[in-house]
Amino acid sequence: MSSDRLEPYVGEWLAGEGVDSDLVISSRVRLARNLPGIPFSTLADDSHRAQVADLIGNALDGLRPGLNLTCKNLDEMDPIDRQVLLERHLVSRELASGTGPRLVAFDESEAISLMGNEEDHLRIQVVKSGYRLEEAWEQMDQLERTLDGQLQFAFDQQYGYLTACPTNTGTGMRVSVMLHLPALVITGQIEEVTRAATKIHLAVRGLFGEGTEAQGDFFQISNQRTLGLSEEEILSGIASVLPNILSYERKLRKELIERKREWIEDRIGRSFGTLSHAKVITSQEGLEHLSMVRLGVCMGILENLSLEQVNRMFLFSQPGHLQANEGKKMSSDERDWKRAAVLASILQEN
Amino acid sequence: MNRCGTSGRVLSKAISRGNRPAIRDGLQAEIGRKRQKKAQSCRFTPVYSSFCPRLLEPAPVTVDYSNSRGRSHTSASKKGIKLTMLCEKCQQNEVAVHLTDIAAGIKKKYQLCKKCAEDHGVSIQAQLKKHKQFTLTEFYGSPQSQSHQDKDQATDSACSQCGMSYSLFRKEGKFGCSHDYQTFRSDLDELMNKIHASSQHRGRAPGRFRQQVSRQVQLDHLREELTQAVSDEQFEEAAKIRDQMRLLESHP
Repeated sequence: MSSDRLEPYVGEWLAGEGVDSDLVISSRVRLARNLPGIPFSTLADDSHRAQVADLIGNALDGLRPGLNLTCKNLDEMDPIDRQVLLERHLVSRELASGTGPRLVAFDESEAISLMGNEEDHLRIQVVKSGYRLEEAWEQMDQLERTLDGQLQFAFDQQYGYLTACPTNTGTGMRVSVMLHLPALVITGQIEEVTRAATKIHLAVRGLFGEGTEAQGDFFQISNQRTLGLSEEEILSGIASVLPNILSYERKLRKELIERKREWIEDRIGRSFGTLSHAKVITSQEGLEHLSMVRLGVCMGILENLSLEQVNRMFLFSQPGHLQANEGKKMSSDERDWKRAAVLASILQEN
Repeated sequence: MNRCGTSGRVLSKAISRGNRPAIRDGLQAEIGRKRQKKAQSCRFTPVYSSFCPRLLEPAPVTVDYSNSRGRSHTSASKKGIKLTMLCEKCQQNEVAVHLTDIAAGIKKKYQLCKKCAEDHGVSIQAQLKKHKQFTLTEFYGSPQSQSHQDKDQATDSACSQCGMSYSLFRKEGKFGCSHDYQTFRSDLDELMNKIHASSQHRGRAPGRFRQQVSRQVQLDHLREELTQAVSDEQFEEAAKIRDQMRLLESHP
């Protein structure tokens, strides 16, 4: 991937479209699969990784008639480009920072991506904008069936699909939705939601999934259990709790408008002002202001901005994208200057 | 009142599950007799870790009853007297183990010397060693009992394909290859139940397994129905379900 790939284009999952896209940024389904007879990443050496990369690379040909896939070996990529892939959620943190031959293949819309030699030999993910888990699962179902015809996956009748980590054993399926919940954070109710989700075995994580802190009021909710439940039951587990979270957030937004209109308008206005005129913005500060601006767009307070613009600001202000656009490695200070300029320029499009 | 701080944490898990009631009863009876003879003024308040409430460590501070009987531990410490606390059981050796046993919601504490503790199945070295290997255990639940750990060490077989041993897997938290599931099968149900509250896959299967898995899912479903029918005393219905199950099982 090179910087020219970063035209003012964001993947389909950041288009700001789909059901409940004001609150649900994206819906993701991921499957983990392994090949029998080859060690997992824990014990694999480069020759094993090369073997996995070959097998998966060949199997991808089976998907090509219907999909225009771009395939890359992360081992041969520039670190900045790897960071870009990570920020676009096309690769995981583990794959980006790994060693040896590592594959990524993604389609034009960046909705589908396949990772080779991650923690598991193969990880397949489908991401959709808004709350569209069913749609994502349907696409995943087809993809996996096609690959099942090309590759022999490690499977056991009792434990299901065999994965490197026992937390993925069974279906190997992780379903997650990325949510923007500023009203729950502002009113201090987010902990209650987190507690309730944890009780029903859902994990609440940060923007980039496992091991990341929530930033800028963005949260990822995903299933924890992968064994003992069918794929449909895992999907319905998320589907059963999500409407409650969304209606809670909507109710609080309504209350904010009714009871604290001036206060919330002031906060949103200040964030808009900072993003429009500041000269230096750190990554954390950028996310916090973008969260408020996104809230302003969804509440109809900032009428001339679109969700797509906000999502684009969100993506292009991240460290990898800033450096890829400049075509060089930049220090943290340089990035903060550049970030302010990028954010202001997108806001001035109107 | 003596506060033991973090080092005052105790573990009763060290008593193997099988002989716990016998040990407890024996200890209670014996200590009860000693207590009648010697009233002890020193009381320990262990500080429990919220993560693992019962840990075993050697006693950090002790009280010598021969020199400071009836005196508060704090005041003795201030005067710089070396304090020694005697084992509640033998009343001869210094206390080496604080033991807390919780049964039926009742918490009992014992102060034992190394020998008496070992006589009752508590090994300090084994416990300390166990807590140093805490990575996966931290995540998956409480430490195993002594007998269980001994069993692990005795049967720590390695995978014939990748060489991964069960103890290394428990330490790293990740399997070495898919064959490990076969090698460690006898130990995996408990682990899977802790993580997923289940040890039986119910999802999709690769094409080559689909028919078999589908039959297994149907059998599981019928088994649940059978249990329900029996508990509802619907015996006619139960007989029909049983016949369906037999039919499924007889056609592999």
